[in-house]
Amino acid sequence: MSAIDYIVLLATLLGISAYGIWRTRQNAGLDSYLKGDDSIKWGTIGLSVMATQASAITFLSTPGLAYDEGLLFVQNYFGMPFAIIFICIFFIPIYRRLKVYTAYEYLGRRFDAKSQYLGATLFLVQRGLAAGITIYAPAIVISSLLGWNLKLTILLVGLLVIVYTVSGGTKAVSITQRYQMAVIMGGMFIAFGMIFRELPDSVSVSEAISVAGALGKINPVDLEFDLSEKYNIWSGILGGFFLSLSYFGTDQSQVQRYLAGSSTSGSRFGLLFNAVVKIPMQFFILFVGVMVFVFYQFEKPPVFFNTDTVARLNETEFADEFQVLEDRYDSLVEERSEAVMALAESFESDDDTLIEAATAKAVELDTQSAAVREEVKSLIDKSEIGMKAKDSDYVFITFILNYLPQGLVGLMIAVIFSAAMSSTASELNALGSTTMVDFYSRIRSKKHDEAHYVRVSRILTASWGVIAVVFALYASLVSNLIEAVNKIGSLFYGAILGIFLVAFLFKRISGNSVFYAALLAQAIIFLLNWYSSIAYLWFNPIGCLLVIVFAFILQFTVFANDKKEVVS
Amino acid sequence: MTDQNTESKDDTQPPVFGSWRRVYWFVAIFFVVEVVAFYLITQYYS
Repeated sequence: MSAIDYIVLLATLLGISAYGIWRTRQNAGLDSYLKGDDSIKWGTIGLSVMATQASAITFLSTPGLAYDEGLLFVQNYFGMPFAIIFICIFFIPIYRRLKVYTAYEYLGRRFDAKSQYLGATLFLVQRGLAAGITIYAPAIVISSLLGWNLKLTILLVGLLVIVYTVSGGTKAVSITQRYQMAVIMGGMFIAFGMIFRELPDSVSVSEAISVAGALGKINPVDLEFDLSEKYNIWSGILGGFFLSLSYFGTDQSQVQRYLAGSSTSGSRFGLLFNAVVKIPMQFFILFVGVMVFVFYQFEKPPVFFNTDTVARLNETEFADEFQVLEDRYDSLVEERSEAVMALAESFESDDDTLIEAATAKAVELDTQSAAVREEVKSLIDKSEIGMKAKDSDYVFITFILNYLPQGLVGLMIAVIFSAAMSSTASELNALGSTTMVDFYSRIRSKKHDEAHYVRVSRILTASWGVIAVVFALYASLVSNLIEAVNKIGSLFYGAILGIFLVAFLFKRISGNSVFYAALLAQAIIFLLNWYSSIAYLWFNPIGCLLVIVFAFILQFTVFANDKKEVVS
Repeated sequence: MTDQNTESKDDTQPPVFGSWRRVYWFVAIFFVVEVVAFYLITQYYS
């Protein structure tokens, strides 16, 4: 990276953080610290909700996923619009009417203290882990490619987020996210334009898309029903519905964003903004990855994108074997490049026979080069150098570092760190609030003034920041990062959502029934994760339904004499 | 904790379309249209 890149990067990250601190320097009360004074408008809520969900992992991993698997991942978001409508109808009016600070506070009022503790604990565990990965993900990728010190990168990013989140609370998080989202989307559009600029002059936009289609990367919808398949329309609509319902409706890192709205209308509209914009945005990010794939049909890609892993492999006894594979790959991609160019030219001819022949040759060479990549990955596994044989998180950033001009590289690194900081800020903000509201203030019977609670909230937020940074320092790369985060979420979200749906929809169920039902359901989900091949998105509906079914069974058997609790 | 129940400023009217029911229908129809559009466009190119 050049000096200009460093200036752009630091100016963007420090500037936005400093602005957030300055704008919230007069925050005084608890309401202001935890809920932003109920003063935030729907546009800011919408961007804040979006920035919370779109972490650095989104911008590193998603294009890499598309490079390998095409557009299929977009189906994961197909259930989201309906989940958001459900939340607007059932969740938001109740949260706002009860004026809760956290989603789990509602469980305490509807059921009992142990249900509140259970909901809050499940959230703290999964979100605490995710916060560590959110910081770790961009740091590991960028530090390894740029030769930065990994631990120092994690510490600097973590410290910056902790400072403005602790200082300004919810309002600082929302305000900074507005500008972080502007940088993120601006950067992604510029990167998208640069990919087309870097394509050969003779290849038009339409031909580039056709090449992607011919090589099987344009495939957003898979209609086949298969429980073990990661992405198809059914897991996307059903699993995605339950995942989104749990994430947006019960995850405090999101609930806190829209409860900061100045009105029910603002909260709803900010959330609905995401229901409309999220799928096109995710499609766009995946499409960027597909276009990077097309770009590398004409330019020689590395046989393995994580150069750090390749360097380590070259120090082992497998170096010669790797060299043979790399040479074979280089010659294959050279041949493939010519075949893909012929394919692009064939689209101008409208001759179906010519197009079919060119497609067959390009597909064959692409399949062969992909097979060599798989052989390299097997070699990495065999070498036992302690590195994961998966490089999809490195694809997009490799393109950025090698092909974008000075200044833009700094901007794109700022995009990735802005995304990491915006998600982490929401997470720390929510973790601190939940610990304060659902544990500290509930357990301590002695009442204090507001300044005391604000002080405690700050200490707790900072403590979670430290925990996340420590976790990031000692985390190891797990498969594809975005999948890892979604998987951790899916393990817990089903049970949490089940508790909330019972609370909202089934007034005859008592706290005891739902509490033990959730414990049982969570245990079954862990067993399914270890011993079955069910794709992780299905854990959301399964976990949720198990809680509801067990709660009913327990209510009408073991806890039949419990007093029926109704809060409304 | 103290004073968490301040007076709310709830305004339940949506900024557009006149009623929430219409807003929800808009979101649902928009979703169907965008999925169908993605499907048709990508089918054309693949």
